[in-house]
Amino acid sequence: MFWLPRVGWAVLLFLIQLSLGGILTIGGAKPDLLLPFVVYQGLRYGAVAGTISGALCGLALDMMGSGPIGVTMLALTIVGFTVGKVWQEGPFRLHWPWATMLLAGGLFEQIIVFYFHSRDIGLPFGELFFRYGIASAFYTTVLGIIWFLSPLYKSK
Amino acid sequence: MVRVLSRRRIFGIDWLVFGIAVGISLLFLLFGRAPALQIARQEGRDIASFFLQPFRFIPEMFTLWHDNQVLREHTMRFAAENSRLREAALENERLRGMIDFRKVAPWSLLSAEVIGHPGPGIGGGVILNVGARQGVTRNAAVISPRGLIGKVVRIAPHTCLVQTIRGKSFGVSLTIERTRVQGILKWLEADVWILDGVPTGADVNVGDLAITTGQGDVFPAGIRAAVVSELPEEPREQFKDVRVQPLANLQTIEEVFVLILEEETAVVETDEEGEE
Repeated sequence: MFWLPRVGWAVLLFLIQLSLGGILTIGGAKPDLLLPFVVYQGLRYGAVAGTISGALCGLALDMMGSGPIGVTMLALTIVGFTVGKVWQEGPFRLHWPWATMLLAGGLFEQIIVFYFHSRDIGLPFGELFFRYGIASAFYTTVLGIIWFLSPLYKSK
Repeated sequence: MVRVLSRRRIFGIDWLVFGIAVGISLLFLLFGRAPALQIARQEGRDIASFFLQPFRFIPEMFTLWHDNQVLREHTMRFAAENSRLREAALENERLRGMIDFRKVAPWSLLSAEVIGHPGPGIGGGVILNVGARQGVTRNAAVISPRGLIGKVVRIAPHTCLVQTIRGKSFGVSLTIERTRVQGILKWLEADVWILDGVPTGADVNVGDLAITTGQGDVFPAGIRAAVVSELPEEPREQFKDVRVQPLANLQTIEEVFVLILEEETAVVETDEEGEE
């Protein structure tokens, strides 16, 4: 039952994302509150935890969204796996893993999501990504850093 | 920024899990439009909607806050508009009163507006927007529909200065309308006027109306001026100072009438602040 608190956190963040997503949106930049959770799982528990949490969180978001199913799942799966793999087995150590991983993961997620969304709705990928994707990634990173500074975060 | 570590190559369960997850997501991407998946998506939304019920109050609070802001703005705007309308209604009422007064007044009246209140150093004076060009003469009486205001003491082509009854060197001969007892209206201090020279045994009661006597050449007889507000408890030997209150509110006058005298001989050049 060690995973139960993690599921609880994930569900809580998921519900907050769904209920407050519209309020937190600033100028089209919408944060992904589940991305910090996935990165945290990858950093703290490794690639497997990161992969599973990324896949489930991504699938949940896809099911609630209006875009193609599987896009966010694919993005967060890759992010969770990569974070865990790089942090545990990578050839280098990052000095600010939390912020760096969040920003890199956020940008990657936005690239994947907006690539498939742009194909789905017929708008140019570059315009969507540079207008909303980068801002959303930075927004998510800022919120993640706030979480890092909060007592809820436990560094590895 | 980075510190290079020894390389390790491990292929294990993590790659397997990753492969399965990526495979599933790709399958979703390939068959995401399938009706079964859309039905599942709808069901998932319904379930999430059920669990989101307790969280709904948060965005609703923001909505209420925003609505509250909008309503506050509307309230402020409507309050200002209401104030303007109320002001217009009061002005309308005053103007209607003036029109009615003009109909019953026996004198030739010139409408005027108060455009200035000189400082307290020169006494209770007001400046009107009419002057010699409009026919205003020196010592012309100034009245309002409610009662006596004062007299013109200085004239310019388009303005004039009115010395109101709120001045120590200004006296008006009045008579009690009910008993014809006479006295001189004098201002003592803020909001205190007396009817000086009323005999001790004279029949004067609180509430009696005092009107101008017409003595002198400034104020015609019969102008409502003041009402008796208080009688002295210990009258002097021969006279008693009866306290009166002017009918016109000198603090808030805005529109007045200047009495235009038809006969030039009726105008007497007296001292500007002398008694009538």
